[in-house]
Amino acid sequence: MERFSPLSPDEAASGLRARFGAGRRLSADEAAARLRARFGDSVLDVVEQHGHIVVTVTRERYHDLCRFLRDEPEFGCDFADLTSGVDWGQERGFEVVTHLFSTTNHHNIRVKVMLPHDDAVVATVSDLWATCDWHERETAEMFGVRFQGHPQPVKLLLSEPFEGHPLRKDFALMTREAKPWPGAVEGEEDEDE
Amino acid sequence: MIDVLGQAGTSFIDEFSSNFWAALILKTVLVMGFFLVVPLGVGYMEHKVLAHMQGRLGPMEAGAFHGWAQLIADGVKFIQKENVVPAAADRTIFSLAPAVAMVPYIAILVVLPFSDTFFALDLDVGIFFVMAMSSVSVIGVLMAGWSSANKFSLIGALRAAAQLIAYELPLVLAAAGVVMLAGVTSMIGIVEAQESLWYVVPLFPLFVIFMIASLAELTRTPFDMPIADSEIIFGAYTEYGGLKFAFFLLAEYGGIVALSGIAAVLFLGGYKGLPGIPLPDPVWMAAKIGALSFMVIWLRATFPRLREDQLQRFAWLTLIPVSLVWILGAAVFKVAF
Amino acid sequence: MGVITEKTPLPRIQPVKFILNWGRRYSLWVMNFGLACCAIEFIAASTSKNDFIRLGVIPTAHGPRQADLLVVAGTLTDKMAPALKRVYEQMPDPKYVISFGSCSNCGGPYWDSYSVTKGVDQIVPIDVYVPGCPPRPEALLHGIIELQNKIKDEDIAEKFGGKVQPAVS
Repeated sequence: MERFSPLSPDEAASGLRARFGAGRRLSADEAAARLRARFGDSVLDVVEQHGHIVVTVTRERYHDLCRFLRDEPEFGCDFADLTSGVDWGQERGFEVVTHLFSTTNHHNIRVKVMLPHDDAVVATVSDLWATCDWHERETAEMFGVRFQGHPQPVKLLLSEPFEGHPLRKDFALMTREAKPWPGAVEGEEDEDE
Repeated sequence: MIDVLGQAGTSFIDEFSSNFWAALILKTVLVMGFFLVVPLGVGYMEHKVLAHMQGRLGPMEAGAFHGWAQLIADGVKFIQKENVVPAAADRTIFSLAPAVAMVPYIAILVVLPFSDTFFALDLDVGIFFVMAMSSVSVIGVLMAGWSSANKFSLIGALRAAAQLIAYELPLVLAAAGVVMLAGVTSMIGIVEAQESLWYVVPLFPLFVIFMIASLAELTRTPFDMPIADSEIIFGAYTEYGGLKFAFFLLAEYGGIVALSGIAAVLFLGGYKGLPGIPLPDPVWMAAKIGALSFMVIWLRATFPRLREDQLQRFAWLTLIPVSLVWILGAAVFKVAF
Repeated sequence: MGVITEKTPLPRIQPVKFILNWGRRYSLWVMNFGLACCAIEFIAASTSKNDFIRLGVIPTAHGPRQADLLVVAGTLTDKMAPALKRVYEQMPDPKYVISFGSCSNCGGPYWDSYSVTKGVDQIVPIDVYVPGCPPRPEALLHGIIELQNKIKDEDIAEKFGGKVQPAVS
């Protein structure tokens, strides 16, 4: 482990990246070129959003793409921030999002997979990053997405007798059914004012 | 005064009544009364001292004047609490542990002299008896931890036992230095030997070591790792509630009073006053006990706690060598001069 | 509940009852069952500016076994509810519970959530409800004073008469 030493003004000016030597950030175009060269048409889309590279991939190559992002030095995504999901409804299906970060290259890469609504199965990435074990458990219980190969697919946050998947758009919030929302709703202005 | 050294003195109670049984009952009542009142005063002092050192007020409501009856309210409340014994616990040992932790400090109070006639019992082996009794309370902690049927209690008890055993040695060595200079082991004898010079002056490092070791004996901050609630809930005492828990607290405060008293006798000249100030002897002794208890509470307000390995290292690698070296120096001094 | 209250008729005598109530009132050892943001307000109430030790509420209760007062501060989820019940049962009688903040009173701003217990009183019996989101520390002090007034008029022999709680380990 290298000992921490004070920065010289030049080092401070160019930031920590210069000191720790390894890598540099990739731009979205460079990332797109490398990924398409490796995975071809499985890479559906690569864009840049808020300074992050967002890659959309098919379900079949999701695990391979994640492994490539982790092991390839230019990507070097050794830190998994989160794995979560979005429910786009019955037609579009579910979207599983994994947010990765590289501590050597200091770039953020988000990997998205679209899954059909009634066949929401995708490979697990918990063998690549241990933290995704818990994130995938949460996504599974909240959306009903099944992660193939997950070592312990049990509920994480919901209590044991809970039935249903709460973050799906069609999940009925029983409290709101029993009693309507008492406050103002965005879009419905108060007519008296 | 030379012929007084080494002889057991007569207590004022013995002069009051020559009947052995009447004197015994009177002494018991006095010692128990002292034990049940003075630690409560120290506990109240702790509340108020900690509070004012932390910029707040402390108990104000219990008892109309500045919450003086807070500890009494605590006692009345603890009497009413349900007696909970965990189902898997060893009932007999669980119930006996508070007694084993508390009684040694009552026994130490028996030999504490407040003047050359104001004491319960003056044993020839006074200081030896005190050291022996203070080691017995370790067993109380171990009993509590083992019988609680709780892994964390057991870990806390083992930590406490390791700490108490480690700090028993500096305590005894510091007392041994005093005994060497005094030449007697009776408490009154040690006080009388300090007539010209309190032992805190020639044996100052031993005084510091004795105070540090008695803090560790009582698992007081900064040595409270075995019982601190951010570490191990309450250590060996986790499963204790109600009156048994109150006894453990009483044992802690009683221990502060007892060990402050012993430190006052050994190093601060006991009931001997400073020349020129005409106060009766018991008042001097009470003042010294009060000052040392205040120091103990002050240390709680000031220091963070030592980790288990740090406190073991401190005992074995610092306190014991320093006390041994100083005893050697004291022996040389006594023989040479 | 202690030899005096369970086995003797002493608590029915008025002066004894007064002293027993006085002791329970001014010596409430509190365990902070802090779940969410209200726990921070509870901690703020224990600091120098709003010191609840003044009232005799001592936070030296290292665990439920040494506590008389349980302050449930914050949102209780369905998954945490069995733990709260267990901690409550571990406290020796006589014990009191203050529900601190609107999440523990009634579910609060999360009243429509799928995972929140809407009101801690479904799990444990509550003596005082302190409203607010979060309540100011002064509100907790007021709640404690209300509890103390409630204890002043309590008849402990009647409250626990004949009922022996099984010791849950």
